[in-house]
Amino acid sequence: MPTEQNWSWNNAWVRWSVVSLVGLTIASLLVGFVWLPSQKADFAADGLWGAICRAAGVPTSWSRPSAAHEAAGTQVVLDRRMTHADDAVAIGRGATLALNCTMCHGALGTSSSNAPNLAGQFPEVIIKQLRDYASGARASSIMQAMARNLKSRDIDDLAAYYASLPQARTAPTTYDESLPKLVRVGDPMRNIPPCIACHGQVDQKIGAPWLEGMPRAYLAGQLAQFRSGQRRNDGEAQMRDVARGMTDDEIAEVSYFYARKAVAY
Amino acid sequence: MSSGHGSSAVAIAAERRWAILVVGIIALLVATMIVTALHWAAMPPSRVETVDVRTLHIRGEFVESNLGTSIEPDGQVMVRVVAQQYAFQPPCIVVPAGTPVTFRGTSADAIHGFVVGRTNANTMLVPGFVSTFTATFPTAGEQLMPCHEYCGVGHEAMWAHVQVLPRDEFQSRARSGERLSCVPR
Amino acid sequence: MLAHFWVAFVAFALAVVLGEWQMFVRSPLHAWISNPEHYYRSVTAHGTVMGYVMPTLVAMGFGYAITELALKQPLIGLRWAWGGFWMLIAGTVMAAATTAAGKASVLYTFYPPMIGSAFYYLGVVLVVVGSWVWVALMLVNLRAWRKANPGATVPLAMFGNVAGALLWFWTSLGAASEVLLLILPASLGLTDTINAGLARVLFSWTLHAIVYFWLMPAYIAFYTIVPRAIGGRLYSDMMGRVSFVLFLVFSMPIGIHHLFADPQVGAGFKFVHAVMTAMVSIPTLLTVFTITASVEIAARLRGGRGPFGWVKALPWDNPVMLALALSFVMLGFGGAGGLINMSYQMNETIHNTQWVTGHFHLIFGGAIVIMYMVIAYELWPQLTRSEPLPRGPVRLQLWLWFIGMMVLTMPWHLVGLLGMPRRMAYYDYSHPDIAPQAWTVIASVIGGFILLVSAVLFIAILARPRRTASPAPFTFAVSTHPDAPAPVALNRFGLWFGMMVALTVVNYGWPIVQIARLANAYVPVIPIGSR
Repeated sequence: MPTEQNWSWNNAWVRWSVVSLVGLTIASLLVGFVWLPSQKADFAADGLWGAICRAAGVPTSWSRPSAAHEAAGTQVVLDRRMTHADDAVAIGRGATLALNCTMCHGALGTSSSNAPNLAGQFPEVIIKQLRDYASGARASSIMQAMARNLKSRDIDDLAAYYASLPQARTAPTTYDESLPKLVRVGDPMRNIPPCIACHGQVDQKIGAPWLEGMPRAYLAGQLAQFRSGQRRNDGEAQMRDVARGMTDDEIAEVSYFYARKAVAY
Repeated sequence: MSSGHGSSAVAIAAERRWAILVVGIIALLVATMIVTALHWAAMPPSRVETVDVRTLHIRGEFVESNLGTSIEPDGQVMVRVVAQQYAFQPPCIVVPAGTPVTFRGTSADAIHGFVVGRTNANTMLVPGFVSTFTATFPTAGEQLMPCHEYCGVGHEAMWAHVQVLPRDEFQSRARSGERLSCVPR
Repeated sequence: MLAHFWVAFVAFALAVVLGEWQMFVRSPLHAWISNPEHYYRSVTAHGTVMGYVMPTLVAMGFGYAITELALKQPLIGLRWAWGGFWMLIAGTVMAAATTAAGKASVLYTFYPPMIGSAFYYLGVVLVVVGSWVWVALMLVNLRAWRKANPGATVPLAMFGNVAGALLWFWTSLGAASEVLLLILPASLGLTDTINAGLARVLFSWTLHAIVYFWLMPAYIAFYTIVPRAIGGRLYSDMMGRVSFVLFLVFSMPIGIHHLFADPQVGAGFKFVHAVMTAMVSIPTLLTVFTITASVEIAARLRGGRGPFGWVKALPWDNPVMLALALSFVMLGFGGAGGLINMSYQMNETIHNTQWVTGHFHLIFGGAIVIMYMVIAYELWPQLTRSEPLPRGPVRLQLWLWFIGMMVLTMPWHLVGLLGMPRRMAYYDYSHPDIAPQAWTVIASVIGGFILLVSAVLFIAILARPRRTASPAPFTFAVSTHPDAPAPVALNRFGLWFGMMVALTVVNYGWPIVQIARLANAYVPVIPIGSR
């Protein structure tokens, strides 16, 4: 059987299958792109060609723009570039700037007061919090004043410097039942994810700070502020949603857990 | 073992009858899809619309203060929701019973999705895109709204709640222009 | 071929262990796992082995066997075949090691913007490229045979085999482009953003037709092994060919039915894909008819009478007969579930619930894998120079697989209807809405355990064949009209492959180009397991 026959229109198989496939395709295109969309008011709002385009997936606006709502919270856009911060020159500049911070945050970024440790903190965390202080999205009379004196490059340099320091805690976390429940498994029905899912022990969500070794009073205080809504610089209320369902005992328990990780084993 | 044209013709005829039956079943399924598409209010989210994922919390429709349930100027009930690792915002959504509710949602980071209880309110939330769809909740009560697409290590804890209120109770609570939710203050 | 099968089945058994562990830890029988990441790590490994490694190796091994047995010529390119095999092994080891280290808990569907370690993706790429070597060898061998036998009809087994190879090649391009063009640059740190919507569309290109690539060996077995094994004839060789070409044309350009609930694809394309998905159910329905008719031939040759009485006359002690019946039962349920999934609006109720997981375990893990077992059992005497495997243990193993699969998946479908979401490491069964779902998960643990026993028995049977000097020659089924030549359209692939490509352009061209051009669709990468 000559092979040319396969592609020839004379071959009945070729004729029928091509014709029926083309027919099926055209029919379904007509139904899917012309008939069905033109029956729906919002698809057909711009006429037939508009309906075809919308059915094809050309992006358009599907709701009337409501009154513009101004965002009152953080204005910081967390960018992945903020997570790379190992430029030596920046670290050097940051070290100089950090001399202003040692009073509360410790000489090497490990504070002996209730101010948070900054040593080894993820750089984008420091950048975001300083920018939020500067804009007023996060409230603190001391920090707002200090942050407003910093230029954008200063903030980046400080972040690079602190990120380069060794972290406060030295003991690794093992994942067993001895950990507080909220830390390792959270509580799904209260929509409390496990802390380890975002705060760097198992995985880290961009902008979520490293917590191990932080002062206990600081952690408990911040969770309480998130719970009451007093602290509002978390984007789309992510930490407020977490803290809202936590009881006083749970706040104390997780704060204690993270704070005692500073002890070297 | 040649059986001749007789048996071969019988076999071909049987095959042809079956093939016609099969095509008939398929045509019926497609017709059902078309009829449902024409007459059903709830459709899969096929209204393509893009949004800038980076500035969701800064400006535009999905800033925090604009999320939740609202009654639009034309009377439509609209729920705006943002999904992120690992919560929906607002985590408690209020909707009226027996009324078409339009959902508009997007993701702030990974691909999420949700289904409401045992209803057919079900969508994916893809960062960069807005999902728009309409659903009606016939019975009042509280439903669970889990995230159903793996979005990271905390996915199993991502459960929101939907409160379906009787229509008059919803009307009395809703004020035009304000955003309603059942999140305890 | 033996190497391919052994690696496939050992990996399969390990993955079954993981699967059962997963079922157990998320059931009410076990406290919530202390580190949820371990669960997702296991799911990634289970899916990667069951979805990428095992079926590819089975298809390749079976394909090489068909090439030699059906075309009756030694395999051309044996060294290339081994090269492809080792590439696959290297890829599997790389992906498995990376996953085991917790660096790639992204699940086997690896949806961006979540990104794992580059080594995982490179491992998957190697697996796919290794399989492309097999595709090329299938075409090379077929061409050589055609030259030696001009104008002859390609044996049905080889016809289906090459159809499957061509289908796999074309469909793997989707995920391959997604990995090479989008994911690897992000994973290697070359870019900080990725087009998540486009990645899902490209993955859907592969995601549906890959299941037909998995299905081809089983259907080839239906048409070319089962009738002979039960002492009958294939009712219609031509219908077999029609089914294979319909699969070739319609399997791939329908992937957007996996994206019905996605916001980045327009309603028009979703509808067109739904209609064409309806078309791809046709070859299965044709196959059910043809194989049932073939089985009836065997029954009547054994003296069966009456419109239904012939069923009793079938050789039920024959494991192949048993497996076929069990496979058809699972295919019936799984196919019905598939029809629901494909019906655009009905999909909304069950999208991403546990119904989906129940469905594909039933249809693939059940109907298809049980035929993989039959293929192994039938080929084993040839491959290991042994006697036919003992019928008693084989029947027991097949029954256990069937029972385990039904117990595993039937409650699973139900709990999906009750709204249980997918891919969670644990559930709070104390909540009144979730408490009624608890029993279904316990049932699935029991079903999974039965499957585990069956898988171990499977390996044990294969590991201890009784050697013999001269194994019985392997033959394929003969059709009722063996001398009737196939029409040239059912003997060559050009037309059908061309149709598949043309449909791809129509069904996928615009969505891909369109989404690629949307600036807002490029969103920040989210590293999983690292920063």
